[in-house]
Amino acid sequence: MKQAAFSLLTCLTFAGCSTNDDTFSVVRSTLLPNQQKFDARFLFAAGQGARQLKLALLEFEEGSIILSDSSREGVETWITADGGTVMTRDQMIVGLRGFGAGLMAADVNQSQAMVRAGKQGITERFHTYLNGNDETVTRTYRCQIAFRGTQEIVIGASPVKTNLISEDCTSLDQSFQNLYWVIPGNNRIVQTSQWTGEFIGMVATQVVP
Amino acid sequence: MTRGFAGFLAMVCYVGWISHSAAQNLSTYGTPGLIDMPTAEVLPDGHLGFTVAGFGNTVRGTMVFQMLPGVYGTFRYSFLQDFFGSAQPTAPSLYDRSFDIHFQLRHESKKWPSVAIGLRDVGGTGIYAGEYLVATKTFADRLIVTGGMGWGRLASNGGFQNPLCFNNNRFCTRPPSGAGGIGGTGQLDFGNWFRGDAALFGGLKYQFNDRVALLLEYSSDSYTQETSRGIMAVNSPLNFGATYQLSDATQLSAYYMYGSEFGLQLSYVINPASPRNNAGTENAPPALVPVDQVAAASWNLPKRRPDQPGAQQVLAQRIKDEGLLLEGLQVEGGTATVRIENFRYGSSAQAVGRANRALANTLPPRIDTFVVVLLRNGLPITRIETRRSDFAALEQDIDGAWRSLARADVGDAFRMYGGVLSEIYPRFDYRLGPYIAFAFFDPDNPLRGDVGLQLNGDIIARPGLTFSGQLRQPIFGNLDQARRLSNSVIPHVRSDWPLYAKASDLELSHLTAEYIWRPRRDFFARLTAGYLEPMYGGVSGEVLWYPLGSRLALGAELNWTRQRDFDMMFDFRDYNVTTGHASAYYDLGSDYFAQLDAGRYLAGDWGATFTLKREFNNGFKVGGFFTLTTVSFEDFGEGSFDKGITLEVPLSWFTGKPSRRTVGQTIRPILRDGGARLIVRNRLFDYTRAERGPQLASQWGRYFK
Repeated sequence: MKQAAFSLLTCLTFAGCSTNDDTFSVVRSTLLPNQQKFDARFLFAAGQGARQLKLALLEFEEGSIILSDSSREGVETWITADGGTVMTRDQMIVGLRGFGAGLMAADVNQSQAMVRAGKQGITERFHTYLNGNDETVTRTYRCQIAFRGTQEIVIGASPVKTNLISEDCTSLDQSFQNLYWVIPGNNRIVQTSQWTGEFIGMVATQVVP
Repeated sequence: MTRGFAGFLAMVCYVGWISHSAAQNLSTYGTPGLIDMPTAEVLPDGHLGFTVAGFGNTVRGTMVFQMLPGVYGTFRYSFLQDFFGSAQPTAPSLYDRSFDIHFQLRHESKKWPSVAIGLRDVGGTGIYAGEYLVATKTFADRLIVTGGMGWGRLASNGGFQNPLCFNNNRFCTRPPSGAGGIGGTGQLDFGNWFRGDAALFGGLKYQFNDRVALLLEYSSDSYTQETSRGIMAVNSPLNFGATYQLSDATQLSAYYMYGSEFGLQLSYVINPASPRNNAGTENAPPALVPVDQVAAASWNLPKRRPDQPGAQQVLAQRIKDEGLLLEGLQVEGGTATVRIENFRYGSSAQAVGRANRALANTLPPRIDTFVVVLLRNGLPITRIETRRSDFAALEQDIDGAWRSLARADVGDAFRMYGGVLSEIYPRFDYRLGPYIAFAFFDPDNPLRGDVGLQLNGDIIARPGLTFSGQLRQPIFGNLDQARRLSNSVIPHVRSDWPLYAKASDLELSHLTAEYIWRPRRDFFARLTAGYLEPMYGGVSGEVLWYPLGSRLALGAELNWTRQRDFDMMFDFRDYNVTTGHASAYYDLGSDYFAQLDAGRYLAGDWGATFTLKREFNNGFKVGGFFTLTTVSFEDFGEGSFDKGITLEVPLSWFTGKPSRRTVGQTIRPILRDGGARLIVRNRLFDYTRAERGPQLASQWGRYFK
């Protein structure tokens, strides 16, 4: 009898139901993370043949294909299979949602302009993070954009000749290095390694032809 | 007895999964220290620590909270096996509850040590009563040296004449602790503090590497009571220990103590402001669509096919997808007003952001202003007006959240009942799932609990009018096995809880009709009738004055109640009482919140309850309260007066997913009848606070999340 009752309660913990309360689904998805479904918007974008981008969370050793969801005023929003989004401006990450990381916004205008112009020099960038206490903190970084030589990388199955550009940024207590692989001539960014904050750390992207 | 919310135990177990804070050595008393002796250190501000330590016949479980940067408080539950021995053959062991408080008087500097003063076991039985003055200094980042002077129990080894006695005779002798017997527990022993002999203690902590630290201390505690009762031997004042940092948050310690006992301890320290999932892992909001694409959407075209949904249907679905309910839509000129119920987000600001996004992605470009009215069961609480252009312009702005708050017009939603969609009312909500209820500190079994099935049902007949019920069916547990019946000399308004547990099977927790309305601007009112809570039924009325964003709110409540029968179904007992309170709620700033409730309690006693909470911006709350009433300490019985600790944790703090639910627990050393208050659902301050109070603005950082 007790075993049956315990089984019932265990079952209810996972199958408890409610009209307007997400509690049971939240607990289910937390305790059984591998049971999560593909996000509907991701599936819709996939069905529409949306443009793809390779994304890797380097410190978590996770990688996946993300899909273009929308583009507005120079910012492209990419959606992940589990419903997170990455916002980019010319492949430079300006926001993350749904990763636990709180990169709410980034002002990368100066760095973007310098990389696209193929120049070297000093820029400023600003990141706003949302922390676990629901507070936003804006950090200012001073960055050095520098040319690091040429590199041949593979995109899809094809070798591509690129210029490697580094962006070394520091603030009072943080420092990081972003790398951009750009096509000589038009300076279009095709591959990156970018720092998105202390929680997620380095993120790599590569365009999918 | 303390009855908890379903899931609390699961969440406590789940703590193994969660966050992390800087390492800090905690003693067997659960406080920053060496092995048994305190140091002058403190935890980082706001941190919360839990320890379990065992050696010989003693087990101590402790919760310590760094309530201010220099002040921590501690609640401890100790088990001393065979403490009473054959003198009490039916209950040979001692279960003891104690509180400590520690003040760091100065921080450590390059030259000078940190200095602290502390009180152990204030207001308990006094078995651990002792005071100390201690200094701690770090050398070469690895060696931490502590030296101090103790009084009371901390002067039971190597005691000498109290230096404070030099100029004041009243410090020369120390009255016995707990002289008033069990009835005197709970009272502060002011007359004992820093009196009687003093003794020196000290020790070293050497940080061997990042994970391992070695401990050595000279203890000024001779464990007099334990040794005299033969449950412990003290052969040496020297204690030795080693700690191993299992993770950022978890520490395992092993000790060799007093030349006779081996001990083990597990410590866990968390930072409530830093949950494991940081800002949360909920699904991202839909991307904001360019306005020309919205204009060209099929529902915004002048001619659409009959089978295509209209803008209202699309909007309702999109708002539903965000965990919100669209209850009303009004379009006047260029302004669209939506009434929404937030079922998902702990942060109302995030709900407003999601609603505005749905509006921006759905309504035609001629709508240039969005007004979101936040509701609770149809009751309009707050309105937020946003320019559509601001929302679009600030979405990617580096300071978008705060600029959007600055540009928003936030106001009272008094009388904003208009535009209710015809299909909304009546609305039926239900919830079926497991529950857990606890009772702590019964000497026969310190942790009692029931696990069972719970069904809630609500019919919201119209805005503010709710018929609600809850049934519980315990499936297994031991609440009904409590043998200690109340010996209270005042009406048994709470202390008969074991009789309720024994007599009930299927429990009707509540069955009420409730109406909540807005009598005028800044005011809320509630009238509830029926079976109000597991032990009482009757009628309850309340009025709350709560200006938008105000730090201060004032309320008044009047209840006519009758005690329910022990079977927790439909019958009543003979006892009835009129109770009521005037309440003041005040946000002190810097995460602190105070509440004062003064009035008449269930036993007919008059008095006041003072509550102080540390409320983190993410909704994690740690608090304490006490109640003093016209019931004398003697008539109250063990504990002298009602008091306790509260812990409330948003479910999202554990899961990273948004939720309005919290898991929480009130821990009372003992539940008696003095200062007992009616537990009525949906008291107005808590009911309206998330949409009304300063936290609406303080969590605005989640607006674009």
